[in-house]
Amino acid sequence: MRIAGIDVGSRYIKVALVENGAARFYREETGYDPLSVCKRLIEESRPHRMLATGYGRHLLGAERTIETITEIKAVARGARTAFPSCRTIIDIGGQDTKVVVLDAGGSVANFEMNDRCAAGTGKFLEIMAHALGYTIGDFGLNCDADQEVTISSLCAVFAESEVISLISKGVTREAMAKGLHNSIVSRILPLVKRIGFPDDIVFAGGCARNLCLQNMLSQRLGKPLLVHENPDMLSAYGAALCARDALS
Amino acid sequence: MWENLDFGQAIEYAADPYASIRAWKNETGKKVVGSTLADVPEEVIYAFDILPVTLLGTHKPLRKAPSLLPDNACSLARSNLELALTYENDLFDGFVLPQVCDTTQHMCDIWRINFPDTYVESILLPRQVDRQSARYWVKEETMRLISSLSQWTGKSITPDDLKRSVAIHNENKRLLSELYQIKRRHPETITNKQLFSLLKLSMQVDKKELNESLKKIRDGLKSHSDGRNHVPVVLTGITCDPLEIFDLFDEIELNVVADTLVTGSRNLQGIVDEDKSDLVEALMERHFRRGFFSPIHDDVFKNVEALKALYKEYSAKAVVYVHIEFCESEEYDVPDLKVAMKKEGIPFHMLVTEYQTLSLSHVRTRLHAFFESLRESGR
Repeated sequence: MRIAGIDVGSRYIKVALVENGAARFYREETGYDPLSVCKRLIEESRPHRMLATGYGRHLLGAERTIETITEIKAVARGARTAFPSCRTIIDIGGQDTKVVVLDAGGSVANFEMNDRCAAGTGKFLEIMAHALGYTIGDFGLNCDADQEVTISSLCAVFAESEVISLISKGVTREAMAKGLHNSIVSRILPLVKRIGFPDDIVFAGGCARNLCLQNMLSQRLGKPLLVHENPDMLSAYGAALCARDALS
Repeated sequence: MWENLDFGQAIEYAADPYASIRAWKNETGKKVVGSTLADVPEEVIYAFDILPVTLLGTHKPLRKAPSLLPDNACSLARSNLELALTYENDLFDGFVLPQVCDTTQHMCDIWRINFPDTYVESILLPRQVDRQSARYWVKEETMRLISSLSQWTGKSITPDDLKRSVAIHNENKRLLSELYQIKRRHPETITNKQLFSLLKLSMQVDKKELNESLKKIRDGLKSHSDGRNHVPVVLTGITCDPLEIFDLFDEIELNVVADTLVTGSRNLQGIVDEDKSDLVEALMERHFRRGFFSPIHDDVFKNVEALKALYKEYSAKAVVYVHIEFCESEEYDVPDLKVAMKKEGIPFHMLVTEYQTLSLSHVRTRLHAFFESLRESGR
């Protein structure tokens, strides 16, 4: 039986297909019409059963009476399966940051989310990468600078103004990239510390693909981070696993 | 105007009551006076044949308020000012504003300056409510309000006027309490959204008319199941706005079995002793019987004790706290409240709301995730 988890995120719609013990992953940009993208992905993957998660999960729930779970539960299930020792998940997605603490049995014990503003999330990284002329894929590979620059604003509009001001002072873009990554980590740390972060820690979400963020976060927490080869797929994977659980 | 409402109309009016208030005003030729939260003795205003309307913010964009109150001022205070300045500035004949916290103290002056041709009266309510002098003070303030309204309207009120007004307000609270009790036991009969829409509307429209609707709604209810699938929760805070938050509660089958909201049960606690010969004295006594309200009580543990008792009495599964962004009184109280709930082992979830910029999808995810994990933990 082919079981799907579909994570309707703010930047990407991700699908995890679980069949015969193996998982396959697909993703597409969410765009302005996420429901059509979802429908196409479902038609292409033809699952026998599925579960939706992510901020847009209710679009599918309303349209196709597909059951939904929150991304908190989904990422917990996905991360715990990928890394059985996982007790903390730091998930930085396109528009929100979540920190989830699991109990010894793998259930959600507590969670925190960022405020309503998307400051310090994937969208912020995208805007800043664009401002400095990088692709989002390259952004985290270009933070190697000796110069220390502090970017105090996490609002994309203000941060862009700060970057423009630094450019006019002759600061290198590598130094600015490093400063921007540092400011994101500074934003995440209070959230993590508020809730506690028992070992082991899994770094999930699209931003976990960013090597610079991985290293800085690990360094500032003083702990290693476990990162899946497809960290942005853990919620979709978790949703698929929950759909499979429901069958049994 | 409001004497024959069904649930659907009540929800519609509660979301935006001002058009109907304007129509009522045109029809009756009566005055309308707005008040901010909380504890203005509305019975006094009503006795003057004026409609007292509690201002409960707007979710329409801010235009003028940001130039008068900074971004980090109470979101409800800014929103109320905008409502009166921009959206409903032709509706109100006057304002009676309670001074209950630092923001509302300063607000009174801001309103006076910005409504130079409108009646603006303040009522200063004591914070140290345990003092004997507080009782004297509240009674004197109530009498001063009567005198001020009398001077403004050129009318005076008789004890019978006040008695009639108190009776209407008491009946309103009793009817709403009855509906609350039905909803508590049979959540399929009345949804959270329906009940809290009625509670909100009752603070804003003519209670004499609304009481007729409440009676018809009550008599037309058919109880269904015992709500076994619903999760009983206790709600706390000052307001829970917008009302769409209650849709989220209904969506995941939460049943608000009790609350300490100022716009909820605390308002219903305001029944006045009608048999007392001195009704001003009775209004004063009512003021001190009401439950916790963050700006006028310096002891957050009164709220903790009330929440513990409600949690136990109604076998609730969690306490949901609704925070208004930048409400300084709540900001002071919430750390202690969180610690106390944790110490008591009461599952506690905090929803942060802000007029104008609230993202309901964010609230939905937080709320769903909290109760998802609560259900999984088997509590």
